[in-house]
Amino acid sequence: MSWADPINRGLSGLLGNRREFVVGNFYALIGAFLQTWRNVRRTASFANFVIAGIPNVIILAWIANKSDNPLAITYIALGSSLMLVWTNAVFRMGWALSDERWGGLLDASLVSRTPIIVTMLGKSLALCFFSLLTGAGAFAVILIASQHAISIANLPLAIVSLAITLFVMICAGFIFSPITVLVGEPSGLYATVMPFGVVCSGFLYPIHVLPEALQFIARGLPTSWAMEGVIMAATGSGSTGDIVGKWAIALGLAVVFLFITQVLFRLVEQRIRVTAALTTF
Amino acid sequence: MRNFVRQAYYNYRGLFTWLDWPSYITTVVFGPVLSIIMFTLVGRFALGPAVVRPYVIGLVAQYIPFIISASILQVFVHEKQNATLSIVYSSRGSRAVIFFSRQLFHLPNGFVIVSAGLFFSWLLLGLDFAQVNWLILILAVLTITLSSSACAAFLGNFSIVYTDWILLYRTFAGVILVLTGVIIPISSLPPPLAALSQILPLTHGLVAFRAAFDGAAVQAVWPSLLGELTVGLGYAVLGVIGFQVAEIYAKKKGLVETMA
Repeated sequence: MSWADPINRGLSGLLGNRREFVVGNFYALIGAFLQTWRNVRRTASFANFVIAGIPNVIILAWIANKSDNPLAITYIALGSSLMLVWTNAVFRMGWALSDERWGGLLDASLVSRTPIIVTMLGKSLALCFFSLLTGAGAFAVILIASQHAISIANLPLAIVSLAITLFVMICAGFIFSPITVLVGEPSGLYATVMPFGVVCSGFLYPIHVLPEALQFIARGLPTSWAMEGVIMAATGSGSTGDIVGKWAIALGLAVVFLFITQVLFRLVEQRIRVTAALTTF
Repeated sequence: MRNFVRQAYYNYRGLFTWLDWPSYITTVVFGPVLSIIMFTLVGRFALGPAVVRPYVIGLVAQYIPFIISASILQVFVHEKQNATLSIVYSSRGSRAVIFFSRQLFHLPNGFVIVSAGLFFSWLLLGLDFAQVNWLILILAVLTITLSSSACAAFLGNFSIVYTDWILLYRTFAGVILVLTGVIIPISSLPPPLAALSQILPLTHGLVAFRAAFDGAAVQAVWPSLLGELTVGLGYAVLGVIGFQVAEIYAKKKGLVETMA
C-alpha cells in the first residue's frame, strides 16, 4: 500500500460524491420543472395569463399604431413581450416557495439533500418558459395592431440578446421567491413588484426617459442592461463590442442577484427551522 | 344604521386582505403609481409630451375602479371561502343592508388612490394643478367611486359559482382600461364597444374628472356626473337583485360553503 492510496481513495470518494450530488440536483431540477410545467399547463392558467396581459398589450398596440417613431415602435413590440413574461413569471416565481409551504411540501424539500434553491430554480424556469407563450402572443398582437414592420438589424445578436434578457430576468425575478417568505407573505406585494420591474427595466422605453431617481435604481437591474443590448442589436445602433459590453454587465449583475438569492434561501431555511413554521403559520 | 356600520366594519376588517399596511401601501399607492408612470412614459416617448397630461389624468382616475373592484370582489369570495356565508344566509337581516355594507368602508379608498396618484404624478411627471376646479374633482372622484363600488359588488355575486376572484377582477380591470377612454378615445372604438362603454363605471365620470383639470364649471359637467351616478345606481339595483338570486341558487344547489 503506497502512501498515495488514502489520498486517491479520498479524492475518488469526494469526486464520486460530488458527481452524485450534481446528478441528483440535476434530476431534482428537471423534476421540479416538469411538476410546475404540468401544473401551469391548465386552461385556467392560460386564461389568467392571457386576460392579465391582453388589455395592456391592446393599449400599447394602440400607442404604437399612432406613433411615427420607429425606435418607440421597436421598443413597444419587443418590450411588451418581455413585460408580459416578467409580470406573469415574477408573480408566480415569487409565490412558488410560499405555495410549497402552504401545500405542506416544504418538509420533503428540507429533508432532501438538494438545496431548496435548485428545486425553486426548476419551478421558476418552467414558469418563465410558460410565460414565453404569452410573450410571443403579445409580440404578434403588437405587430398586427400597430401595422408597422420591425426590421432587425443584426438577427444573431438580437437572438442572443433576447436569450440573455430572459436569463437575467429569471435571475432578477427569482430573488422574490425567498423575499416573499421573509417579509411575511403580504397579500398584494406583487402589485408593486410587477410594475416596478417593467418601469425600471426599460422594456418599453430607454432608461434615460425615466425620472432621475428611478434611473439610478434601473442601473442596478440586470434587465435594463440586457434590454439595451436587445435594442442595440435590433436597431443596429451599437457595435458588437457595445452589445457584448451590455451583456457582460447584465450577466455580472445577474450573478450578484443569484448570490443574494442563495443567501436569502439559506435565511428562509434557517428561519423556518428555528421558528418551526414549516407547514404551520 | 348602527347595524349597517357595524356589519360594514366587520366585513372590512375580516375579509379585506390588503388592510395590513404593507399590503395596503403596495396595492393602493405604489402599484398604481408605477403603472401610471409606465404608461405615461411610453406615451411620451412614442407620441410626444402632449399626451402626458391626458394620460396621467385618465390613469389616475382609472385606478379607482381598478382597486375598488379588487377590494370588494375579494370580500365576496373570502366570505364564501372562510365559511361565514352560511351565517349571513341564515340571518333574517335585510339583504340590501348586507349587500351595501360590503362596500361602505372601501369608499374612502377612492380618495386615497387619487390623492396618491396625483401627488406622485406631480412629483415625478410634473402634473400641473394650476387650473383645477377642486369641487368638480371631488365630485368626480365620489361618483366614480360609488359606481365602481356598486359594479364590483354586482360582480361579487358571481363568486357563488366562481371563486377565482383574480380572474374576474382582471377581466373587469382590462375592460375598464381599454373601453372607458382612459388612453384610447371612445370615438376610436368600434360602435358596439363604444355603446358598451356607456354602461361601464368611469366612462362618464372620467369626462368630469378631466374637465376638473381644465377648470370647468359645475354646469358644464353635471350631465357627466349624473351619467356616472345613473350607471352606479343601475349596478346597485342589479346587485341587490343578484345577491338575492345568488342566495336562492346557492341554497338550492348546496353551494354555500362548497366550491362550485
